[in-house]
Amino acid sequence: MTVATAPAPPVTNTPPSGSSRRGVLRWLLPLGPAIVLLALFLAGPILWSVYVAFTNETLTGSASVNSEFVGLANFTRLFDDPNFINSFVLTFVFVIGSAVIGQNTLGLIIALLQRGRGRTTRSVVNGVVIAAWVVPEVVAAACWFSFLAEEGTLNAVLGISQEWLYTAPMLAVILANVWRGTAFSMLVYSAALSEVPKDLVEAAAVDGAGPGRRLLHITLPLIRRSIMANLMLITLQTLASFGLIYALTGGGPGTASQTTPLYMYEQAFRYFEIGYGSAIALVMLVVGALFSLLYLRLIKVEDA
Amino acid sequence: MTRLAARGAAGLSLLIICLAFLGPFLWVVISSVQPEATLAAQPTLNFSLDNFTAVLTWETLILPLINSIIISGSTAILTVFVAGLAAYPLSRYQLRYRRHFMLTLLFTTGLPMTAVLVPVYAMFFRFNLYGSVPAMVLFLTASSLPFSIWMMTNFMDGVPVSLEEAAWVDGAGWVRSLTTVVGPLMAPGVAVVAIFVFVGQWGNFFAPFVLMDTPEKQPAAVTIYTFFSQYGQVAYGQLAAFSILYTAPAVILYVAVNKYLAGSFSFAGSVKG
Amino acid sequence: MRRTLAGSLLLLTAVAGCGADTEQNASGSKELEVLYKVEPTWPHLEKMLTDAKKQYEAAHSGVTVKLTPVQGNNEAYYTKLALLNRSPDSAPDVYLHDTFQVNADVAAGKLAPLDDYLATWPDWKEQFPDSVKQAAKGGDGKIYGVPISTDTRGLWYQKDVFAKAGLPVPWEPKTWNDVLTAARTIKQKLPDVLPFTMYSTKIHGEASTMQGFEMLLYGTPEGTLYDEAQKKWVAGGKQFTDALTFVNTIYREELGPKQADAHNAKLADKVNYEWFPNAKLGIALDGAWTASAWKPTSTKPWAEWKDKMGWTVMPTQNGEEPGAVSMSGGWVMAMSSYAKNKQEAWDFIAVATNKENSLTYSLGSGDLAPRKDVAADPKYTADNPSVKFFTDLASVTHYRPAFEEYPKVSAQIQEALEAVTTGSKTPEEATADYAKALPTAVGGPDKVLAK
Repeated sequence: MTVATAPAPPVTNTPPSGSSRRGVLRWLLPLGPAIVLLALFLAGPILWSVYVAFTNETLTGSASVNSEFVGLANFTRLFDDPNFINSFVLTFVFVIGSAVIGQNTLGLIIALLQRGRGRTTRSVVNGVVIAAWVVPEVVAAACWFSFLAEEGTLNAVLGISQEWLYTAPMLAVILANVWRGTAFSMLVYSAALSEVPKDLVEAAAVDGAGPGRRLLHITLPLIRRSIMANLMLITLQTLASFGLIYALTGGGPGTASQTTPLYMYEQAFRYFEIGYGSAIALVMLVVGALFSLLYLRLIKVEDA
Repeated sequence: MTRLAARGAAGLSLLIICLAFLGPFLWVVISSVQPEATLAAQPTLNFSLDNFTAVLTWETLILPLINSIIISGSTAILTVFVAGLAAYPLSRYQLRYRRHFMLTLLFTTGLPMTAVLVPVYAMFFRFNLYGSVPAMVLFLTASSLPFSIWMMTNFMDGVPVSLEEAAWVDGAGWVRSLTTVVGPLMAPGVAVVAIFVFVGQWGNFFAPFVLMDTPEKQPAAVTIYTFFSQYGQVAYGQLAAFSILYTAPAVILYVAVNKYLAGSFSFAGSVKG
Repeated sequence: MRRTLAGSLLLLTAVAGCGADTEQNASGSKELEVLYKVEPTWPHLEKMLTDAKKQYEAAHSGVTVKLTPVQGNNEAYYTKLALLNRSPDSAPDVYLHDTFQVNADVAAGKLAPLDDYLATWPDWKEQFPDSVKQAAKGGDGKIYGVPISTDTRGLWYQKDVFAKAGLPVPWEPKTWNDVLTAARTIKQKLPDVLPFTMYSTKIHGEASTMQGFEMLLYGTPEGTLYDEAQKKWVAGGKQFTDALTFVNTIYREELGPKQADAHNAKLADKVNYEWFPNAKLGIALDGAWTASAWKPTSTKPWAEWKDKMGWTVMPTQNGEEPGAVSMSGGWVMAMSSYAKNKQEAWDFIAVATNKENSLTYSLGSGDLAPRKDVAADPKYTADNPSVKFFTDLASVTHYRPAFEEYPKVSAQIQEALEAVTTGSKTPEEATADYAKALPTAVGGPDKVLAK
């Protein structure tokens, strides 16, 4: 690929630097506040979680005052826990369904459909899609709670009677999350598409390539970096998603929509099992890292 | 001819998408002005603003909104400041661990904040910070930093180095370079990050619920969550009115930066590391 | 680097300065922090404590009472209290406590025993019946809280609905089958009327375990959660399955509420404010306090309830002796072991639970009065003909096995109940899963009695 799509500047040119002591200071000073805040309020607590994940720490009861080191007990319990396995599968379904397929595809489609449209159309579509993204999670949950209720809008439009939140809770939370998150992908793809050179696409059209072929062979390869970046970001965000599901279904009915963040919350804050909850958090962190590495590897393979 | 048909089909698709996105909003708008609202989005001729007056009290809405503005506003300002500073060396210098640092930041965005809150909570007690709004703002800032630094660095990468070179020739250091050259060029990006953080915290209910000691310090996110889960499933009209009043500030802010929003999302170069 | 670090440390110290309160403020006066819960539709405890604060502060100069409310349901309150209790600095001095959580906190050493103070308090000997005194007794035999409420449970039914469905009034079911038959009759004769409601989902927390499940389990022959003789938790068994089968029948035959309502946090409000007054519901399995929803002081008073509503016992499974079943729990005011000013904290508890304040609370909440003098007060019985019936249920009532592990066992029961409510598991499957999860919940297979 010879066409440069990435606007990233070379980082070879740097401002003048003095002695080596000043050399350290010149990056440490501006980075300092961020490093201190991250270390105190994020890295510290996370390291503490790592330690706690190997203990039987609880919020109440005797283990809250005399917690003990229990080795890998929390982790062996985890992989033998049908509720955790269930939550893990549901998280996977939720991420694939709502982020990778839902938000990503719909965002791309909307961005593609908007190309060459008038200003008014664009701002109306943008406005509506972004509005869904801006509303706070609890309000989004309230909207969908009523939308999917038995006497709600969806049933009225479809002319049927369904208790969606109880008969198809995963579908409900996936749809709600697609609705809420599509704006992000749409914005990423609108920006990426605006950087695709028009003449290249037009040249292909002159050569007789249909719209499908042009999309598949010209446009998508050109924006593949944006696709990977977007996939990585929305995967990570969706993996950690908590508030929307919590407010909409609470993970229920039963455990039918209990993704791993909700299961972790239940263990840590409802049953007060801090040690076990922290072990779940660690597993989630590792899964997130694996997903990201996978996407980064995909980009590398493409570039090679 | 086919071109015209394709255009028409595209237009129709956009219309359907718009309607689908508007669907879930319908109930909120209609029910908020219905005195006897149910879960059905059915308008009746009884128009009334009673739901709004019912929730527009000091404890239910006004004080929580003020708290929200204080908490989200100071978090947004602090985050932009700290992230802006941090982004400069990350974008401009060749740092040995830059790639690792950026990747670590990225993974951190995948960490459920509910998991971090337990140790944070313990820490707040150890240092007597429980119930302290400034301390919570510092925590919220730290939790917003990974994504903000990431985005800021990305924006800064988009500002050509050549523009700065003139300043360096004049003997300007990084501080002047950042404040006089890069900063102004990045203003739209800064606004987007600020709003991003602001709106993110505007909806955050769990951290304040756990870290604040009294209802007088709770932001609207906590109040509406309590309202929704407890009272709101009976008083539907009030829930709808509450939702509208609580969402309005976030929407207004987005409208304000809307024109910069589209240009702020080119992430293509950012994953190269 | 050093400058940055120093700067942030300064910032932290500054921040810490704005932090939480101190036990002793500048003027040298003492402060007592009291934690309790409040809901928009449940202000009764706040009223009682505000009165108590005024009385106490008038009598004890130099001591300020700081009332800290937690807004939300019971679950939210438990979470907040557990978090606050993690550190001596943040633990409230005096707090409202649900009796089933007391032993977990006794085991953790978070509660102060009250026996020495109670010995000097004449009210304790004269006004609190022995059964009520047990409410907050720790595993060590000491008392850890003064009850503000007690309760029993039974069946409420709508007389108009019964009459229209051709069912007898007064209604006296003798077996579970009688209850189901009545519900089926209502469903058949009056399709618009909901036959039966109970709490059976996780959102209702302990109410589901206690009002829903235990009211059934303890009505089966020898049904219990905990074997007192062997000191072990019972892993399911036939009684457990039978209790779940009753719930399963209710929902599979559509005798119970829609799923959306079964999972609605405010199911009780729908039952009491909408369905019963409008004759849209036949029977509800609920607590003694239900009638308080219809009082003149409630948000939606219903004056005719005394004529329209009936109440009766929840029968045992097949009419086994004693023919009825009830469960009792309640809330206490407890003292933190971390409280710096214990005498003052006790004095406040004594004021808060005196006759006057206790009466205020009982009148508002409709909970059964723990004190004899309140129960005998004409104001207490005047407006509520159901009080005597529910008070008399004390003769057949059961208490929960309030051990440290109980909250976790209760959580497992809620899982099983919800699975049966939604139909995702059969009663047998749910029982098997309960038996499987029990050892982890109670801390080892040696504490479980296999069935």
